[in-house]
Amino acid sequence: MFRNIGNLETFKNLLNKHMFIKIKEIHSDIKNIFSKKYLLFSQKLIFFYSYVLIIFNRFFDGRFLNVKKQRFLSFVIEFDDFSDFYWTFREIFLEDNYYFDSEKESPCIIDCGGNIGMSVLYFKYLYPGAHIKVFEALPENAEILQRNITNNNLVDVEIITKAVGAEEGEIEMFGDKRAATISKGMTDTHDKSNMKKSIKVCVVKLSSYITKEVDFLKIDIEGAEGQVIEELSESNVLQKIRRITMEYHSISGETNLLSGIVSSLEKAKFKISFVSDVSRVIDLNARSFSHIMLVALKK
Amino acid sequence: MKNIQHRIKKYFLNIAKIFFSKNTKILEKVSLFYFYTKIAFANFLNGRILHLKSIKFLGFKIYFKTISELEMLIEEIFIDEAYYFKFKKNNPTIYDCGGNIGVSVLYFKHLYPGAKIKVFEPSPDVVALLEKNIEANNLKGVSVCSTALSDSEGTVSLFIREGMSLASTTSLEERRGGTEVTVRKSKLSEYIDEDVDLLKIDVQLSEGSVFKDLSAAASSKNIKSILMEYHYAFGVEDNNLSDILNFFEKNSFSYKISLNAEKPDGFKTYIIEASKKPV
Repeated sequence: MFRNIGNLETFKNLLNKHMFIKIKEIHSDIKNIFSKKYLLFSQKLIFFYSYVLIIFNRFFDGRFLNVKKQRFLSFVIEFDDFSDFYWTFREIFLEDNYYFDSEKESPCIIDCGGNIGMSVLYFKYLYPGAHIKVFEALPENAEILQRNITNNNLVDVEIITKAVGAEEGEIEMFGDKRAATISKGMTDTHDKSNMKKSIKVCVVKLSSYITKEVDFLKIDIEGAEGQVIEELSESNVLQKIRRITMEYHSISGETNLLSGIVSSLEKAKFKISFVSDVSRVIDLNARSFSHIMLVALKK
Repeated sequence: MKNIQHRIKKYFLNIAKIFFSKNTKILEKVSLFYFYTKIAFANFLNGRILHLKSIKFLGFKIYFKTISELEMLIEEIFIDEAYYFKFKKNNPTIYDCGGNIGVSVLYFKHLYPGAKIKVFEPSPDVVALLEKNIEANNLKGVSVCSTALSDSEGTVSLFIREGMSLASTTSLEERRGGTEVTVRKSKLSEYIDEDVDLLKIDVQLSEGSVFKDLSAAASSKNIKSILMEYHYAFGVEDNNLSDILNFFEKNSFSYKISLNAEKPDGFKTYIIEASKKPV
């Protein structure tokens, strides 16, 4: 129905050229905040207040300020780049990309690709009693991640400074703190200059960390996700997981590993859908496509 | 009051889409604007003053069951241009699976008057309207196959909801209180006897089984491009995305998925466009 979005997009693009569209964006963000079903009204007010502080910093960062720390909700987070923080805040907190329902007070969550901890904070925001295992292989990020967890007094969070992949061992990781990966195929889709840097990291099999039921598995590892799903599938651990939200990235030279991932998941009785993104058509064979977010729910 | 507000908003959004379309010329836009307004207005008056059974639209006369469904179809097909496709020839061969009353057939004929179309529709009442529309508009080169599509032959129960013929489905889990009608089911692959330039599929949860059939059949090699709707429904056992993606993989199709999926009634519908990669 919305395939020919060229139609609607052209219309929106025409509007976008004007400044008033920033106000329209903010307006829709505010509508978004106040329609979050999992928040009470008082919580929505707090969220709104945090949002205002962040927008303020966004305007001034680079002009008068050099923002390296942000207070929001009940957290305080440190980071290197405000812009990275802002976009991650939007994806994770505003758009609820990793939202999941649970009746448990302490759901068991595994976070692959924890970066500096935005998703960990989000999970603790949703479920303060959650047990979280977070994997972050890059030492620079893991350091900031650790500080953010300590500074926020988060308990029940285990950091594993290893990469997850198909086999145990040591491997080279390409890229930088923004988008590092053990997948060699990613070199084409990211800035080549970044991808030349590499560091040796330990790789582990995710299945060895899963002993009991996992309520939510988040995977954002810039290309190695196919390996992880395969590994989980082969070790018969997929049935222990109730829900997965993962980012699928294109890998140069390999067209459509997506069907392999979808196959493995559906074989393990998951129902696959995608995180809705209004007016977006993903061409999975275009070299320039970045990522698509997949949701797998146990039937 | 809210309903009227919503309808007015939708009307103006559609007018904007008509005028911003990249695929139509100005005369066509004006024409579409006039006819769409006519239909939207008739829908608004529906049941109060008018009891229409047919209406003139662009160069066509369309017979329909309910005008609200017609408006939905016009919106999806002529305004959102869900099935817009650029062919390299004047007389493409199109297979329209899930043709309903024939609005998509009319659309294809509107774009390519020389097109050869095979349309599949399982619901007997709807087939009657479909055939009427083909006859009334003197469409040449259009053949109707009154059958549901699946991965095996025989008969199947079709669940039809009053006023929602668009959502008729063979899926038990999603029948939503529809009346049960027994219809024929066949394999799409058995009908493919030529090169198919475009295969359009909107079969309300049977997509998975159609692709299971295509994957196993040699005739599917004749398909050049596919435009389909994949319906995600949590309770449904069998409609697997992997069946569809595997077909694309095995047959060297490249594909695009639209992420704009959420529908008001809680369904998710992804539009997937696939075409054979050039060798």
